[in-house]
Order: sequence, then structure tokens, then C-alpha cells
Amino acid sequence: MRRRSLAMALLMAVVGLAAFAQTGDYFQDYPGGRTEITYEVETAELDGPIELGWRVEPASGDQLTVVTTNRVTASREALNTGVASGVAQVSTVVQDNDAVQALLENSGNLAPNQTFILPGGARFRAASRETIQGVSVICGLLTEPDQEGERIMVGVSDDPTLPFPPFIRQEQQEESGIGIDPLPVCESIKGVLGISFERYSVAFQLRMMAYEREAQ
Amino acid sequence: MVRQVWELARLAWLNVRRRPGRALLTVMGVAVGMTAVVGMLGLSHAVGQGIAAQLSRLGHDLVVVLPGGASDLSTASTMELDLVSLQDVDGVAQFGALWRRSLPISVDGQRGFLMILGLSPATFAQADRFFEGFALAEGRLPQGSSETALSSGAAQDLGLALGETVTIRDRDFTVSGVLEPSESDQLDGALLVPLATLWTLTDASPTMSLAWARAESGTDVQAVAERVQGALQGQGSSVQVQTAARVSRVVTTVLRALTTTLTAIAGLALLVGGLGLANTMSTAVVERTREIGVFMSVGARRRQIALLYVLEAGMLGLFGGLIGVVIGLGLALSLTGVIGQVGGGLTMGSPVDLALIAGALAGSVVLGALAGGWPARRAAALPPVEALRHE
Repeated sequence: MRRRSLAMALLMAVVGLAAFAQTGDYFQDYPGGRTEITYEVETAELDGPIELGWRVEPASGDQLTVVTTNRVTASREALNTGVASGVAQVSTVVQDNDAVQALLENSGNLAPNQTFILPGGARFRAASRETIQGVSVICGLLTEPDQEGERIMVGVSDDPTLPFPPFIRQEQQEESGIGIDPLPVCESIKGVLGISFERYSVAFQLRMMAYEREAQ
Repeated sequence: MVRQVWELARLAWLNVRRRPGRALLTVMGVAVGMTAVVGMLGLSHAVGQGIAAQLSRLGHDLVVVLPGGASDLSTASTMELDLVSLQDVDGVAQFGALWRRSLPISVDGQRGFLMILGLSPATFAQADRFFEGFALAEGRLPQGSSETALSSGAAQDLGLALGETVTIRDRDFTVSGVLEPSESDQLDGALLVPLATLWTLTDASPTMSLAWARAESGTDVQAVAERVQGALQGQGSSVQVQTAARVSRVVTTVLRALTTTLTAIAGLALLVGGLGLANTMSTAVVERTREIGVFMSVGARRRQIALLYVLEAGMLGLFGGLIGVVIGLGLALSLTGVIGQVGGGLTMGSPVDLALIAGALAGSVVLGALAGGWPARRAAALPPVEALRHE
């Protein structure tokens, strides 16, 4: 088991805020205009999905107004444990993983049908270019050697108006089961997966359900 | 006197062996309580030791500056600072910065995106403070703008050796050195270049993930931290300034409160074990009243009768303590491992504390003796004739 750096341990003792957006440069790179996106977040902890709304609109001067909304229906217990925050859920999967973060930060350099080396010995096997809600994405499969029995399917876009990737699904291998949910988007990943009798369950899924854009 | 105590101890041991089932249950009552005490205190000891070791390695003279809201060296959190302003800050002996971000790399047709660590010259010199196990295995640290040092993981993943070439964002770099395998997941797998080179590559000067300042020897580090914060304020980036001493104070306070609470809960379990022991000894006195009478009629003194029961109770306490220490240490070791893993591999100290073990065993004997004290006094106070008549 590798260890966190000293600095990291020190920081974790005193702070713990989740930052917005998939990369640190989101608001610096935002091209202006109005963007409204709806994501659906599914987690193993919740029976139903969280509807995550993201709206960015120009304000006075160089300022931007950001409106995020969460819509979730769940038991009081589940809501009490704080699983209702869609942004926090996405940040955990997207920002806490170096391989995913490196992939998203370099999405403009991806190409279909190629394999890319990622931090921690991870590999991203790109499938085809597809569209999700009109946004062009490269779909592919991410696997990490130290996360045996887990795989991440992503649809990555280099569109700077998107705070999160249009599609990301984290699956965990199960010893038994009747199969997995079919892929709602990024069907080309099936070609990368090949034929397998292994069973997987969805631990987390983020999917862009609507995208509206008005350039300045 | 010693011989007399030895004989009484042998007799007490025979009494313990006479009712093995009851003795075992009594011992287990004490053992459960002692397991809780040793387990909780051992865990607390391990956590405290681990954090102290990490803070000590970072050094109590260091002021660390991080992006506001950052929870680690995530590439998603950066700040833009002009560190030249730290040159004139009173009490600052040295300062530096590092930036961790991913960039496209390619080697012999393989492509990917790996973490590039840009370190300022002073940070290279102090790197073992920030990254556990930072040491060169071969070669040297990068000196020019076209050299890179590879972490062990990166060298292995890319199949590169000293003197070979890797392309980082369309620019060729020669491998000048390879690091020893590191336990730090922030370092392992990364390619190291001078910070100025990373800024040139990305055209993003002066972006950084972490800045630091070392306080001059003998100065008040907290005061230096406040001056550093003042010097960096108003540069546009939100920052948080921390010192190891401040974090240490926070952690110590939290740990102390946690230890006190856990010890109080574990103490309750131990108290229940002690009451069980007292109950067993009281029952033994009632059951052996006639026997006590026989002892007295053949010349045993009241003090010897009392000592016999105190020794018996002390033995039961000691056995309970021994079992409790063994299981408690096992529990603390397991919890230490689990917390270390759940915490992303946080370094933990050892839960084995000799003072704790000695204290726990001594405490068990004292607990036993105290629990057996009242029944022993009762036994010693019995009139010999009445005791002999007892059925």
C-alpha cells in the first residue's frame, strides 16, 4: 500500500473541501456565454438518481454566476449521511483519482482506438468518438493495476463548458449476479471489453442528460 | 516471610485450579475490560506516533502555503503566487514551490498522460521533507531545461533507463536520474523537472500546488507564518497557510480528547470485570468458610487468611490482564492496519507500547487485589469456632 505524502497527511488533518469542476482550470478556461447542463448521478448508496443541475451565466463585468442544484428523493437515513450532494459525489470519483484527473486534463490529446498510459500504471483504452447530448466525446475504458476488480468507463470531452465529463461509470466485479446494466451511452466501449463472463455492478455513474448553450 | 508468601501463593493457585470453569469466566471478564483498554490506548498511541513522525519529518520550522480549499496535492487545485515577495519577509531563511500536473508524454510509440512534478531548486534540496522516501537510486537530479528525473514507478511503467529520452508535451527530455521506490503516491509514477521548465512547457508561470518557507533558526514560526500570509495576500489566489506546530497542536488536542473518551468507555468495561472478580471471591469465601476455620484452628493468622484471598484475586486479575493485553494488542494492530489503509495508506506508528503493557499488567493485579480485598477481610474476620461449624 503506498502512502500519502507528508504534506498531504498534514493537509488532510486540517482541511477537506471539495472543489468545483473536473479540472482546476474550468472557470479560467470558460469561454463565456450561458451554459445549462443536467447530469444524473447514480451511486450504490442511493436507490434513485441525484439530478445535478449546473448553470453558468455571465454577470456584470468579467464575473460569472454559477447555479448548482441537487434533486434527490431518498430515505431520511440516506439523506442524513450526506449522499445528496451530486457535486461532492462526482468530486470524489473525478478529483480523488490521479488517472481520471490526468485523462480529463488532457482530453484534447486523446485519439480513438489507442491505448494511453496514465498515472499509477493505469491504462486508458480509447474506443470510438461518439456524441452525448450533441457533445462530441471519446469513449473508453480505464483500468488501474492497484484497483483489481474495478473498471471505469468514460466518455471524455474537451469542451471547456462542461464541468464534468459527459459520462463516467465505475463498476466493481461481483462473484455472482445476473449481469450488469447495459451501457446507456458510449456503446463502442463494448468493443474494448470483448467477450467476458465476469459480473460487474455499477458503483457510480454520472451521465449528462441535457445540454444547452448560448454563446456570447 | 518470602517463603510464607510463596506457600500462600501456591495454595491460592491450587484454589484457582479447584474451580477451573468459574476461574475462566472470571478471568475472561477482566480480559474483556483489559482488551478494550489496551486496544484503545494502543490505537491512540499508534495514531499519535504516526502523526508525530510525519510532522517531525516535515519539520517544525516549515510554513506551508496551499491553495484555498485544497485537500491534497490534487492537480485540480492550484494557485498563482509571486514568491519573490517572500525574500523580504522577516524570519524567512529559504522558500520554494512545487507544482504537480499531468501532461502528455510519449516514449517509443507509447503515449499517455503522466504526472509531472515541477520543483524549484530549493524544493529539490528539501524534497525528502515533502515526499516520503525521496532518494536518488542512480544518476542525478535534473539540472537543465531538457533533463528529467524519473520516479521508480515512471521508469518501470515507461521502460526507461538513465540517458534515454522521453517526450513531454512535444519536447525531448533526457533521463538524468532515477529515484528509489517511494511510498508516496504523490511522487511515485511522476516525472520530475525544474519548476521553471514546467512553467515554460505549459506557459503557466507562476502556477503552483504548494509553496513553502523555512523559518530562520530561533524565530517564532507562527509569527513567520502570519508574515508570509500577509506578503502573499492580495496576489489574487486564495491561499491557506499552515505550520507543522499548529497542525500538531490541533491533532494533539483532538487525540487527547479521543483517548480520554475511549479510555473512560474501556474503563467501564474493566470495572464490570472487576465487579465480577469481587463476586467470585465473595462466593469463594462463603463456600470455603469451614476451610478457613480449619486453617485458623491449626494456627493460621488472620493476616495470612486475608493474604491468601488477595493473592488468589490478584492471580485471576493477572491472568485476565495477560489475555487482555494479548488480544488488545492484536485488536490495536488490526485497527491500525485498517485505518492506515482506509486513510489512503497514512503512516501509523506501532501500537506496542511497553509502558502501556507494563501498566496494564500491574493494573490487572491491583484490580484483582482490590476486588479481592473486601472478601479477604471478611474471611479473615470470621470467628474460628463459627467457621468450623459452618455447613
